[in-house]
Amino acid sequence: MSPAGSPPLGRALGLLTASVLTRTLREGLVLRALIWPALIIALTLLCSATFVAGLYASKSAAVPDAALAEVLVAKGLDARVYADPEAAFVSGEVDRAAFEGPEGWVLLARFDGAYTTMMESELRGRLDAAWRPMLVPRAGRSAALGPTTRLLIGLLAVLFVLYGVVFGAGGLSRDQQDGSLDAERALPVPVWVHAASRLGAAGVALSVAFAASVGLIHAILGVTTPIAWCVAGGLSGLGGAALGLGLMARAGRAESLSGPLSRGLVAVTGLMALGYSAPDVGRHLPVATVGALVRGDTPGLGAALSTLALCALAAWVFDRSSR
Amino acid sequence: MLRATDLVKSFHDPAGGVVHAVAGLSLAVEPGEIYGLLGPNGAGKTTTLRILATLTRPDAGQIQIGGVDALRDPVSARARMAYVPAEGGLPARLSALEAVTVFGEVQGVPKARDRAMQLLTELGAGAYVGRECAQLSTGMKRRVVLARALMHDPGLLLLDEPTDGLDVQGRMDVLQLIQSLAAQRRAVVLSSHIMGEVERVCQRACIIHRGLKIAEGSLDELRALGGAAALDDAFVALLNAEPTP
Repeated sequence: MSPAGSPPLGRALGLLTASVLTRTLREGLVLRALIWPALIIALTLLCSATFVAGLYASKSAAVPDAALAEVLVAKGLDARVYADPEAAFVSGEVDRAAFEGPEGWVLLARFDGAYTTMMESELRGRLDAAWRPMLVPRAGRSAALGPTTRLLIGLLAVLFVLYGVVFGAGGLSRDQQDGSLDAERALPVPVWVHAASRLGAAGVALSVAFAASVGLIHAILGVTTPIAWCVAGGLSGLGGAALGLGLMARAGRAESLSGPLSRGLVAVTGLMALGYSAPDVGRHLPVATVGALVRGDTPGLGAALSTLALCALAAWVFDRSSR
Repeated sequence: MLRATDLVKSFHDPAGGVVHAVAGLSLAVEPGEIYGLLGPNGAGKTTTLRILATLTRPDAGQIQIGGVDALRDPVSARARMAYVPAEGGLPARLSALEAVTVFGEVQGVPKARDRAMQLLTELGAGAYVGRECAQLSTGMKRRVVLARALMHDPGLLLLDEPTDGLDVQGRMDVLQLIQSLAAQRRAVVLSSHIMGEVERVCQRACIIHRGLKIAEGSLDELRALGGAAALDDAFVALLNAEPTP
């Protein structure tokens, strides 16, 4: 029997973090909770887009002569004769325009789809012209969608912050009840390492899942500040986990999960509300950054530092409460 | 291997009073010895073991583990011992092999996975290494927990009710395992309220009641102190001799 030497602290922290992360992600409920919200949002967006496109598909078209307009109207398009179809398109008056340019015929269209294809087909057959349609994106699309996207991602971020509290408090409560926390604490590493490993695992799981969710929505809607959202969501999820862990550690084994969990949920809700109502302050505070970013204020360096400070406080409470 | 002196630990109860969980307890355990902590439910056995394992800090007292002051340097003290809580403490979603291996890796054990496999096989859990801990039977969990405790080859084992929840065969197996560990010059402290298993494996024991050590010695000495031929009769006699608060 020879006592093992003290293991390198960083290695021990990494191993314990990986262990907690593995255990967390093997919980089917946790994995589903991380994946489903973004998938449901993406599916809802796609269904909505299809529905709206079907209802409100623009049929407007500007053409230079009445005969062409008549044929297109017969095909279902709202085609009108303009002296300068290109100008009508650029001004936004119509969503399609066909005209003869310096190098041949041109078809401008803001949307791809059935009516544009139909118009192209008709023009090709009628004019026997060699050209390709040119799709021009609607000007200011991202700006117009900005507030809606922020609200949507904001709601998703709120969900992940609440997850953070559940991960922090619930994971610790589970480990207290089944004795695995005591078994781990008997390892030859400082007590704060166990708090740090739990926060690290929660931070990684929440950040990666949230970033993937933002990426998915960005691919559909176009998020104006995806990196800022990933940073704010990841930091706020970590902040939520720190609050949950600290409150559960302070309550100890004597109290059930429900008390610390409800206190944690109230605390993060209050912080996010603070960030929304006072974004200048909130962008520097843990968890409140989500509320601030919904209002358009990107997280500052203070948010990262204050979140780390909150994690350190949670680890300290964990250490003190464990004695 | 283990020397604890005048340990004191009190808790505040919800009613505002003070509970003296451990009140001036001292004990010493040598390598190769199996020492029993006996007492009724709530006597302070688990609190004592948690203090010895450096999980709970005593209000007063001293603990030496393998020559290390456990209160001043708990990390070094933990490297010399293993603590097995009554619940077992196996993470439900890790396989038996993963649960044992990670403990070895954290403690810097070389080729931790190989050693985990070897220990699990030696303890009779070799067929279950890939199974999630949540799916193991209580007896198999005990074997895995013991394998995990032995990963860093500790000189001292602190076992909190190690046979709790086991059937007769499982209990016999675990007690045999404990005896074999002591035969390898390990000091073992186990808590129990089952006199039969204490009689089977322990060389010495102490009886704790309301945090106080009311008797200590070899099993014969305890029987003599209680004035009974059977240990459980002596145990009850010694408890009844204590004044009711």
